[in-house]
Amino acid sequence: MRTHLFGSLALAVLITAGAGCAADSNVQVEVEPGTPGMPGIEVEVDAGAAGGTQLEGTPAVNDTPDADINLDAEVGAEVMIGGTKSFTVIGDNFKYDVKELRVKKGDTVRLTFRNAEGFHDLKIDEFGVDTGKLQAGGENTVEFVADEAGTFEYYCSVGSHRAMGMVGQLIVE
Amino acid sequence: MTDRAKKRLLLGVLAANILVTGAFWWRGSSPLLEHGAASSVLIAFGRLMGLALQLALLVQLILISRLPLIEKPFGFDKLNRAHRTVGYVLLASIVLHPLLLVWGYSLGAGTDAVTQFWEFWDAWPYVWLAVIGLDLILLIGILSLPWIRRKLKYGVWHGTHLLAYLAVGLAFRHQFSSEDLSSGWAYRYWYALNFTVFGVLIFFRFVRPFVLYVRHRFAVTRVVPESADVTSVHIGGRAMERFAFEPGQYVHVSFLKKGLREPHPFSLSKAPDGKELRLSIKNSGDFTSRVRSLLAPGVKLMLEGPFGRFTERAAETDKFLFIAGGIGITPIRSMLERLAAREADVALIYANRSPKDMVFKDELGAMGVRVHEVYSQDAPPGAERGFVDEEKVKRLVPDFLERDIYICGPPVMMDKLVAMFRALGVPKRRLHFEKFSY
Repeated sequence: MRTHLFGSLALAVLITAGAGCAADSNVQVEVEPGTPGMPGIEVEVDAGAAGGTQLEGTPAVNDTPDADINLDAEVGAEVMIGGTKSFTVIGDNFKYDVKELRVKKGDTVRLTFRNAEGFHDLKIDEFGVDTGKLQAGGENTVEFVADEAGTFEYYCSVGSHRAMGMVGQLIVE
Repeated sequence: MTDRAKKRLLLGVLAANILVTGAFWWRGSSPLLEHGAASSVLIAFGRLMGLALQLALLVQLILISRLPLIEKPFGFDKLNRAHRTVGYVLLASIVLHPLLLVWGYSLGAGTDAVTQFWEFWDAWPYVWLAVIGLDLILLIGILSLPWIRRKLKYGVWHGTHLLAYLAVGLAFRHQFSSEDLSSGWAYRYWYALNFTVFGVLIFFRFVRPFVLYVRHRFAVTRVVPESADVTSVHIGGRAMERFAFEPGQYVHVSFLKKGLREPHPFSLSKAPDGKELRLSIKNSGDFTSRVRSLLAPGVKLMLEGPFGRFTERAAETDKFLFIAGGIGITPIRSMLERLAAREADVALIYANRSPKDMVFKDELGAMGVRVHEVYSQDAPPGAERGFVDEEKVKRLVPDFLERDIYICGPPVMMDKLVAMFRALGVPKRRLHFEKFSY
C-alpha cells in the first residue's frame, strides 16, 4: 500500500517535471487513490501559469520557490475534464474532508462522494444534489450545473450529522 | 493447564472482547456524546446497546457450543444455566437497542417514531433483516420462559431455538453501518470474532458428533431391565478405547430410530472399560418410556460428549460423601467403581421410594461399598425411613464436613440438600451437583 502511494507520488512528480517542458498550456492529471478511504492524490498542473504545481493531501515533496503548493485539505481540489469541474469529497466520522468547493457560475460540476466510514450522504438542496446514503466504502457521483451564484451548504442528512458539523460550503462565483 | 487457570483465561478473553468493543464504540460514537444533543446521546447509547447485544448473543452461542476448552472447567450444566440467565437478560433488554435508536433519530429529524422506523426499514441497509432477526430472538426468548416452555414439546422448543442461528445471521450485516464497526480494524475484528464463534459452534456442535459416529459406529449391544422402570442400554462400537470419559460424566444421545431421535442427556453408569458404554434410563416421560420397547441390539446412535464436572476431578479432598436420589445413582455408580477399586474413603446415602425402585444393589455390593439405604415408602427393617435430612446425614456420616459431597437426584431433593449443606457450613467448592437442565 505504501509502495503504491510512493509510486503514485513518483509518477506525479515525473508528470510535473515533464509538463514543465510541455508546450500545452493546461494539462490536468488525476491519480487514482491506492485504497478506498485514503485521500486521493490529485495533481493539477498549470504549465502556462508560471509552472504552478499543486499537490493535494500529500506531504510537500516539491519545495521549489515558484511552486504553488496548496496543503489546505479543507478546500476542494477541482479537476477540469472537458469543461466539467470534478471534485471528490470523502466522508468519515461525522465530517467531510473538504469543507469548501469553489466553482464559477454556469460550470457543470461533477461531484463524487466517497464514504470512508459510517453511514453518510451528501446533499445540496438548492441544486437537488443527493448522493443517497452510503455505507463505508460506498461511492456515488452526481453531476449538476451551478447556474446560480452564491454560497450553498452541502451536508449529511443522516441523523443529527448536519447539526454535528458534517457540512461544507459550495461557493459559486 | 488447571481448570482454575482455564477459567481465568476464558474470563480474561471475555473481558478483553468487551473492552475492545467498548473502545471501538468510543472511537466511533464519542463525537455523538460530545455533540451533547439528546438525540445524539440516545443514538450513541442505542449503538452501545446493539454492540452489547451482539456480544451477548455470541456469548450465548459459545456457552452451548460444547467447546471442550470451556466445557471442561465449567461443566456443561453450569454453562447451560448461564445460557439461560443471559437469555433472560437478553429478552428483557433486547428492545432497548431499536428503541433508543428510533427515539434518537426521530428526535433529531423531528419526525415521529413510526416514520423513523419505516425509514430504518426502507432506507438503511440490512436493517429490515435485522428487525426480522430481532423478532426471532424475541420469539425464542418468550418460548423459553419457564411457564411457556413447560407447555411445549421438547422438539418444538428445540426447533424454534435453532432459529437463533438464522436470527444472528440476519442481524449481522446491519452492524457495519455505524462508524463503530464500518471500517478498518474494527471491521476486521468484528468479522473475525463473529466467524470464530460460528466456526467453533459449527465444529463442536455439528461436525464433531458426526466425526465421533464415523470413528466409533456406536450401536446398541444389549438392553437390560434393571427394575420395573429402569433399563440399561449397553453401547458398543469400533475403537471404543479411544472414546475417553471420566466416571460421573454424561453424554447426549440420539438413537437413529423413529421416536428416539431427539437428543437427550444420560449419565454413563459404568466407568470406562475400553469396550462399551452403559446408559441406565428411567421411564419418566415420552422419550424414556419408549426406550425399552423400541431399542434392540443393532440400533445405531449418535453421541455428543462426554460432558460434565460431576467427577473426581472437581473434588478438593480425597474423602467422599455421595447422596443419590433414585436414578441419580447412575453417575455416582460410575464414580464409585473407580473409587472403590482404589479403596478411597467413600460413604453413600441412596434414597428411593421403595426397595423395588433401587437399582445396582448387587453391583454396589460387589464393589464393597457400604450403602445407607433410605426409603420414603415400604422401608424394610434396618433401612432408614423418610427423606434424606440433616438428622440422617449427621448420624450416618458424622464427618461430612471433611468430605467432598456429590448429590444427584430429583431437582427438589438437590435444591433442598444443597441449601441444607450450605447452612451447615459446607463450602460451595465442596458441593457438587448437576441439574441435567437441557
